[in-house]
Amino acid sequence: MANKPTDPWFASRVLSGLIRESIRHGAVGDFSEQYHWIRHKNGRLVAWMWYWFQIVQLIPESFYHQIHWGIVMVRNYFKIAMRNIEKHKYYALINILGLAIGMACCILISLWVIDELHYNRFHEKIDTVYGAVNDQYFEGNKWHINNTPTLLGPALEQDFPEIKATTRYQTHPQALLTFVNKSFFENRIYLVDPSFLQMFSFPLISGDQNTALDNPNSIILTTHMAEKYFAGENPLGKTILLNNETELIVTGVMENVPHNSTLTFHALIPYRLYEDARIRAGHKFHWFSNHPRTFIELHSAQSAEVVNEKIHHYVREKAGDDRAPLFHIVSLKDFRFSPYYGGTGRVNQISVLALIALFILLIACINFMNLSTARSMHRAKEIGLRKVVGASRKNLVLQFLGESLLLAFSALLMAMVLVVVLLPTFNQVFGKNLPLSILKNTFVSPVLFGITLLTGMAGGSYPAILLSSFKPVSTLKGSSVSAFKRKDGRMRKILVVFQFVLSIALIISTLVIYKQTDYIRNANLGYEKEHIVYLPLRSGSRNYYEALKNKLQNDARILNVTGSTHRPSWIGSNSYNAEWDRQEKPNEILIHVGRVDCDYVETMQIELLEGSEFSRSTSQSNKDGFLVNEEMIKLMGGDKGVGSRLKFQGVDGKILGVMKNYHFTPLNKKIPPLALLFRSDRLSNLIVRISAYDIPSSIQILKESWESVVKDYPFEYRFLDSDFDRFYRDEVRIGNIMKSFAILAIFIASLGLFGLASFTAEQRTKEIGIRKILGASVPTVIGLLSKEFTKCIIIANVIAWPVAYFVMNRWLQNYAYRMKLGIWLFVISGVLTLFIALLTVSVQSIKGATANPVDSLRYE
Amino acid sequence: MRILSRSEEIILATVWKLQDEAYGVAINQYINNKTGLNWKFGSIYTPLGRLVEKGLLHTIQGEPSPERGGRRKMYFQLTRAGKQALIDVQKVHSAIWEDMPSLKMG
Repeated sequence: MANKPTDPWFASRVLSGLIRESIRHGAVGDFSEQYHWIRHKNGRLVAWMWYWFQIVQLIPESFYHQIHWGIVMVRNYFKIAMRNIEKHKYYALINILGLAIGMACCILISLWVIDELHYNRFHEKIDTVYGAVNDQYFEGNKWHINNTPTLLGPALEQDFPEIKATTRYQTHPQALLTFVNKSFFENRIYLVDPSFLQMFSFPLISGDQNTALDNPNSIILTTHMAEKYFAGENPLGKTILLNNETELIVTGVMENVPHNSTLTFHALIPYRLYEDARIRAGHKFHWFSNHPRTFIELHSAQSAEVVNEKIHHYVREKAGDDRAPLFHIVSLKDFRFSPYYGGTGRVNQISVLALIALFILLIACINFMNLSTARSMHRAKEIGLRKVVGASRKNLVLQFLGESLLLAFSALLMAMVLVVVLLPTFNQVFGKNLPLSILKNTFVSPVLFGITLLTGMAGGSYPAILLSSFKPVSTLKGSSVSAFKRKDGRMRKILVVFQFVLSIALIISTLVIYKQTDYIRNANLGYEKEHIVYLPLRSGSRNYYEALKNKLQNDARILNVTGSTHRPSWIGSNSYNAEWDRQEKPNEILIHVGRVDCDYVETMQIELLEGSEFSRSTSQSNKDGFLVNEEMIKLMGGDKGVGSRLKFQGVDGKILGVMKNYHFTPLNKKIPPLALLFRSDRLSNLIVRISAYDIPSSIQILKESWESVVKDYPFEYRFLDSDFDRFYRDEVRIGNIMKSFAILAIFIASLGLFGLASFTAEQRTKEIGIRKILGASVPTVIGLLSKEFTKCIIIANVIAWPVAYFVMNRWLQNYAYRMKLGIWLFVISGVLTLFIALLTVSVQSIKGATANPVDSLRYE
Repeated sequence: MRILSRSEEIILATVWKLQDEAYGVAINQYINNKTGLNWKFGSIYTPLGRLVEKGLLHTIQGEPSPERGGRRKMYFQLTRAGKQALIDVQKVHSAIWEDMPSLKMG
C-alpha cells in the first residue's frame, strides 16, 4: 500500500519549537494541512520550500518572545536567589568567604609557579640559546658543572657551522668600585664578551648596544648602580676606578635586570679585560682552565640535537686528553630548573607548591559543595511548591545551578580583590617579586573561570538534580533530620574527614619543620658563635692584616683576635690529596682545609682534645703544624694523634693539636675531616671576640682602629650569628610557608564545619526542643550535637598520623642532624584540631541548645 | 479601557464570522480573500496566541485527520470578554466615523 505522506520531519520539529505553547498543537496541525495541500497541488519540493519559508518568517518573532520570557524568569530567579542570601546571610557569606580564600590562595601560588616557569622568557632569542655544561666525577659522585674552558667559545664558533655566535661570562671576584668619594665593594659584576649584549635581551637605555663593550676598559651599569654612584648625574663617559688601580669608562646604562632572570648582575665589564690581565701575568689558557660559562646561539633550534652530539667529545679531542670531561648543551628555557645552573630541587619545590595550591582549592571547593547542598535542604518546600505551580525540571535545574553559579562567581570576585590586596604581603613574606600582570599573560584567566564554573555547577547540581526529583507532597510535608543522617550524609561525612585529614597533616608537618629549623639554629655547633665579629679583608686591604691585629690586641676591651682565610662560619675549600704514615691506599675522601692565625681555637672557643693550637710560643713548629679534627684522625686510622706525620697542601709536617668535631659546614651534612694550617699574614678575615657588654662601643673601637690603619678601603663588619641566620633562611622560609598553609587549611575546614554545624543545629531545633522538655540539660544537648563531628575528627586523626609520619620521616632524611619525631607532636596536632573543631561546633550547638523550646515547637 | 488593535480586531471579527469553522487555515484564507491583504501565517498565529493568553479567545479540540499528520484541529471561539471587546470596538468605530466629512480624493 502507498506510503501515507508525512510532514518534513525536521522542519516540523523546528516549527514546534518556535510556536508558543498555547496554540502549538493546532498551529502545527494547520501547517501540516496546508503543506499537504500545496504538495498535492505543486509537488513535494515546492511544499517543502513553502514550509521552510514560513518557519524563517516566524523566527524573528518567536526569538523575541523567548528572550522576553527568558529574561522574566531570570529576574525571578535572581530575586529569589538574593532573598535567599538575605535570609541566610551568614551561611552565604561563609560559603563565599571559604571559597574565596581558597581561590585567592590558589591564585597566589599559581602566580608563583607561573613566574618560575617563565624565567628567562623575556630573551628574544630564547629558543636558540643554549649553555655548554659538563659532568665531572669525584668520590663516586657526579657533579654538574657549568664552568667551561675559556678557549671553548671561540673554538666552537670556528668549528661548528650550526653555531651563529658564542659568548662567555664569568663572575668577577668581589671588587671595589670607586667614583670620586663613593666607594663600595660589589659582588655582581659579570665579565662578558661583546656578543653577550646581542645574544641576551638586555637593552641599553643609553650607550650603543653594538660597541659598548668593544674597549676592554669599559663598564656598563644598571640604573640602580648608576644611582648609587652618580646620583642623578649622567654617568656616560665618566671614569670608575676598579680595585683602586684600573680605570673603566662608563659606556652604557641599562635597565635593572628583571626579577625573572637567571642571570643577575649589576654591571658588565668586557671579558677581554680579564683575559688580557691573565696573559700579561704569564698565564696560558689551556683546555683545562675552566672558569667562564659559555653560551651558544644556534642558527636554528633544530640543530640542537646535532650540536649536542658533536660537542660531546669535542673538548677531549681538542685537549688531546681523556681526562677532559664530556660536554653537552642545555636550553636557556630550562636554566631555572637545570641542575647545571643551580636549579636542583627546584622542580620538586615548585611541584610541591602546585600540589599544595591544588589541595587548598580542593578543600575550599569541597566545602562549598558541602555547604550548598546542606543549605538546599531548606528549600525542599520551595521546590515542592514550584513544581505544584508548574515549574518543569529544566526550570528548577536552571534555577539552582544559577544560584550556585552566582555564589561561585561572587567568590571569584572576592578572591580577585583578596589577591590584589594580599600580593604585596605575600611577596614580602616569601621574598618574591610577583607582578599581577602574570594573570593577563597566560591561560590563567580562562582556567580560573572554568574552575569557578565547575565548582558552581557541582555545588548547585545536588539540589538541582536530586531535590527536583522529589515528589512535591513529601517535600511540602517537611522533615527535620541532621545533615549527616540522610543517605547522602555519608558523602558529607567523608568530605569533612578528608578536609581534616589534610589540615591535620599540614599542622603536623609545620610543627616538624619548625622544630627541625629551631634544632639546627640552636644546635650546639661545637664552638661559641655569639659575640664574634669578623672583618672581611678584601684584595688590597689584606696587607693591613698584621697592623690591624697588633692595634686591636693592645686594646683591653677586645678579648681575642685571630684571623683566617675563610669565613668563620663555613669552610668550603677541600682537597683529597693527602698522605700520612701507614696509609693503605691513596686518599679519596675530601678533606676540608683552611689557614688560620694564632689563637684561632681560643677565639672561636673550640674544644681542644689533645696537643695545642698555633700560638706565639710554638712559632717554630707553627709552619709545619696541622690542627685537625676528630674526623681527620678517624680517616687517618685511629692510632694517630699529636705528633703524627701529615703531608697536605704542600706542607709536610706533624699534627700539632686535635680539635673536637665542630660544625664548619651547614648542619644538614655530616662533619667532614678538617685540617687547618698556619698563616699569619694577608689573611682574608680578621676575627675578634668582643665582650658581651656594650657591643656598640666595641664596634666603635673596631671602626676607629680600622680607619687609623687602613686608608683606602671602607670599614665592614659582620656578626657571626647573623651569618647563620642567613644560611638557614631557606628553612625558615619553608617553615613560614607551611605555617601559612596549615592555618589556612584549618581555617577553611573549620569554616565548613561551622556551616554544617549551624545547619544541623537549625534542622534539629524541634528535636532539641522536645528533648529539653523531656528533661535534657543544656550540656547533654550540646554533647548530642557535637557527637557526630567529634567522631569525624577522630577518624581524621587516625588517618592523618601515619601519613604525616611517613612523609616527615622522608623529609628529615635530608638532614644529617635531625630531631626525633616524638609521639607528643602528633598528639598535640590532634588535640589542637579537635579543640578548634569543637569550638566551632559548640558555638552553634550552644545556640541551639539554649533556644527556648516553646519557640521551636510553636508551629507544629 | 483598552481598545483592540487593528489586527486583533480583524482576527476576532473573523473568528466571530466563521463561528464553528474558525481554525488557523480558515481564518488565514478568509482574511486574505476578504481584505486582499496577504498575511503570512506568522501574523495570524501570533495574535491568535496572544488573544488566547489574554482570555479573549478560547480553543476547542477538533477531530484528528491524516492530512494534519494525525493531529487534531484546534478551533477558536470568542469568550465573553472577546465578544465584549468586539462590541466595544464597534461602538468606538461608529462614534468616530459618524458625521465624517467626505474622504474622496479630488
